[in-house]
Amino acid sequence: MKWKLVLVVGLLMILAACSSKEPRDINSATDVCEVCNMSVSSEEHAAQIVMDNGDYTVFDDLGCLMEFMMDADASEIGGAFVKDASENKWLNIEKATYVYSEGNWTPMNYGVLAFDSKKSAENWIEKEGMGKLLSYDDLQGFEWGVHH
Amino acid sequence: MKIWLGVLVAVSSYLLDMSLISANSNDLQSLIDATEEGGVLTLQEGEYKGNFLIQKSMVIIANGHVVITSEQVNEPLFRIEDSQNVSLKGLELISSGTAIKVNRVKNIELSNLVLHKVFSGIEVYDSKNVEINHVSVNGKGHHPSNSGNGIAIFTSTDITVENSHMNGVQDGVYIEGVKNIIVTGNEVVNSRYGNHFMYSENATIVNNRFTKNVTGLMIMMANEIYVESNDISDQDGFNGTGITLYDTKVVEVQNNTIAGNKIGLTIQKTANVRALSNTFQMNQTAVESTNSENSNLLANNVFIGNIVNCRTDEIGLNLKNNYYDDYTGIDIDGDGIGDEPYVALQSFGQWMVRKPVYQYYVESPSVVLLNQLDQQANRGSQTLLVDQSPLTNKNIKQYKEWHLNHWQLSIGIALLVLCLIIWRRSVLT
Repeated sequence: MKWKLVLVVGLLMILAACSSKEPRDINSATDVCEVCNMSVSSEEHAAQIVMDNGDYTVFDDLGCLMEFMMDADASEIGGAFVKDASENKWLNIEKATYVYSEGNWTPMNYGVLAFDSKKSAENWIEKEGMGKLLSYDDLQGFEWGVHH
Repeated sequence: MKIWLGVLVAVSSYLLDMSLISANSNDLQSLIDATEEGGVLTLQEGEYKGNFLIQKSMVIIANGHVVITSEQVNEPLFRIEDSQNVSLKGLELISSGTAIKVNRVKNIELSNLVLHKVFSGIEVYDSKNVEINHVSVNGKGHHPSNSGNGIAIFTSTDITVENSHMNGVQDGVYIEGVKNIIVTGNEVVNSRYGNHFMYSENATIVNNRFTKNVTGLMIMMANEIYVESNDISDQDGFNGTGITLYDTKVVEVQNNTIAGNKIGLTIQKTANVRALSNTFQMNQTAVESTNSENSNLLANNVFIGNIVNCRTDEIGLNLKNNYYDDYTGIDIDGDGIGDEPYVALQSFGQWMVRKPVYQYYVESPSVVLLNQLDQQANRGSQTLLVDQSPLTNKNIKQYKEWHLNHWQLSIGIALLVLCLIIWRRSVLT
């Protein structure tokens, strides 16, 4: 009887893993931004959305992800993630802190970088000598586009 | 007497060109520093090593085969800064980092250069009157996503890039924030994008060849772009596209050969595109338009051998006077224009683009019937995927010749014979 229980629990765990809302790795050879069609070559600026049904949608730049989210049905979005600018890890976009500067290079030149904490973002601004601190709420009204 | 005459000629030559310095030493930076403002530094054949800085008006020219190798990976081999009237000619540069970095220079010519095994070939920032010609850039052979650009130009004006060759880099020519640029006679192969334009204005892209890249020509957030007589072929990889226009205004695409790509021309969020007299040949999808304005026009083009000629999200594509190889109408009055409209809408084609495996059913009876139904059902439609005046004679100015791949043909025939033998044996036994 015990082994059946273990089997059922195991299967449930596998099913739970299948419906995980965790971000996946970027494949720079094949991944293309859903919005602008550019290859996701610069992994350190990549972003992605995990849909509620388990599908993944990847973006080359945070600005493209925000543009996609404006038109998307919020109920279908399982989670949205962006790469940390200071280390190779995914951040939930609602929990990240952002720095905008015209001098920040990103694939679409939107110039917004993500950090895991306000402290990290402030350290980055201090180190680079430029940048404006933004929250996730600030991104909603942010003017994505040419800033040259 | 002859000896004195020789001496006289030699002294005269020296006096006529006091600025000429013959260099046969490895201490190239000292030679650069010793060259007077506006002078010519002639490098004798040989090998030089180091990383060098130029901050004055001067010409460096090779006399024979000159090879310069970078010593510091993190530093450009040549840095050219805050100067004007600078030329580098005839050099071969080897660097695992950036070969040449130009900052705030007016009037610079980089010509007849060979850049080997570089991460990034030439980077130009905040400069004016830049001419780059006959430059060959060869990347390290890494995947394009792990390479730098062949030639990258940022926030500069009046640029010419011509007759250059880029292989195995990220973008052959990357242009960002540039006004007035001519890109002509170049070839880019095995890279991410052949040319990549962002936030730029007034660009002319003529007589280039982009092949075996992810995308031949990527134009984003740019205005006033003229694309003519380019060969944009065989971008047939997983995401292969001949030309992508994204959020761009006023683009003229004319007389180009766009062949063998997964998608020939992609138009996204773009207005005022005029694609005229191009040949779309053997692409999986010739033209795809999404989220674009009604001002985009395709006229006098030739569509031949494509699986799907046009697909759109219902707005943003006007068809006029194009030739379609699958047009079945007739031309009774002989004016060269078909008497019935051509319906470019193909339900099966749309499905096939989403599921490439469906291509195995092309020309099957059910698919032929479906296409016929599409033609009949949409003939009277005023949707934008109907050409009311299709041409019946193709006037092909550019045509991509197809070469037989003998190796593939031989394998195919061998497999066919093998199958026949197996089948015969199974039937006879």
